[in-house]
Amino acid sequence: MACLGTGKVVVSPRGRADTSKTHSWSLNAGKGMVLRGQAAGSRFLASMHYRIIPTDPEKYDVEQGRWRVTTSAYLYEFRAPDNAKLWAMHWHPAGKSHATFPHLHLYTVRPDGHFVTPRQTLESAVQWCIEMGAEPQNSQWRTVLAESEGIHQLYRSWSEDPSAPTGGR
Amino acid sequence: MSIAESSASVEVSELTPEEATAVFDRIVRSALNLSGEQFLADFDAGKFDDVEPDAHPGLLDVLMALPLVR
Repeated sequence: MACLGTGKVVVSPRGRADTSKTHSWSLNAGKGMVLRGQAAGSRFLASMHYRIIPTDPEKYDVEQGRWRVTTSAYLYEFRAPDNAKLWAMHWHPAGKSHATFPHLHLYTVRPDGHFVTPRQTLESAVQWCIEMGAEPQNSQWRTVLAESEGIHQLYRSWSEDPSAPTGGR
Repeated sequence: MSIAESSASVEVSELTPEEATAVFDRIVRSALNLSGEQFLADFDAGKFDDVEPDAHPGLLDVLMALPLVR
C-alpha cells in the first residue's frame, strides 16, 4: 500500500498473536488513504478479516512458520472525491448476502450488480488505483506489487472457489 | 504517468481494546448514524439478520469493523 502513499494498517486488539478469534485490519482505521496525482482527493479503502491458524504440515513447509494467516473476508474500494463509490472488490461469505463468492461492484455501470470474480488480491486493488490515476509513490511499484502478490499466490489455498479447500491465505 | 519521489511507508498499529471501541464507534456513527453501542444492541437483537449488506449503505463497512469489538 506504500505504493500509494503513507498510511497505517490498524489491527484489532491482539490481532498479531491471538489465535482464538477472527481479527480485522483496515487501512487508516477505516478512513482509507487519500490518493494523489490525477486521482487526487479520491480514496482507497481496504480492510480484511483474518484468522491465525496452525500451519498444516501436509500442505505447507512448517519450517517457514508454524502459524499462518487465513483470510475470511476482504473489502477493497475506490471512492471519488465526493465519496461516491466507483468500484469495489468484495468477498464477505458470512452473513445474509447471496453474494458469498468473490465479486466486483461497478457502481456506475450497475449499482446493484455483483460481478463474479476470482479471488482478488490487495496488490491488484492497488494497481487498479494506479490505473485510476493515483500517482505511484514508488518508482519500482510494478516490481513491489508483483513480488508481494507472488508470495501470496504461492501460499494461498484457493484462488477461484473459496468453498473447495478449507481456509485460505 | 508521473511517479512521486517520496518515502511513503505503511506501518502496522495494533489497537488497545479502548482504542478499538472508539474506532468502532466512529465507524458506526459515520456509516449508519448510530452509536457503536446501539449498533451492537440492534445486531444482537437480530435487526440485521436478514439484511443484505451490499444493499444497506454503510452496513458492510461496519461488519468489516466488527472484530474490533467482538
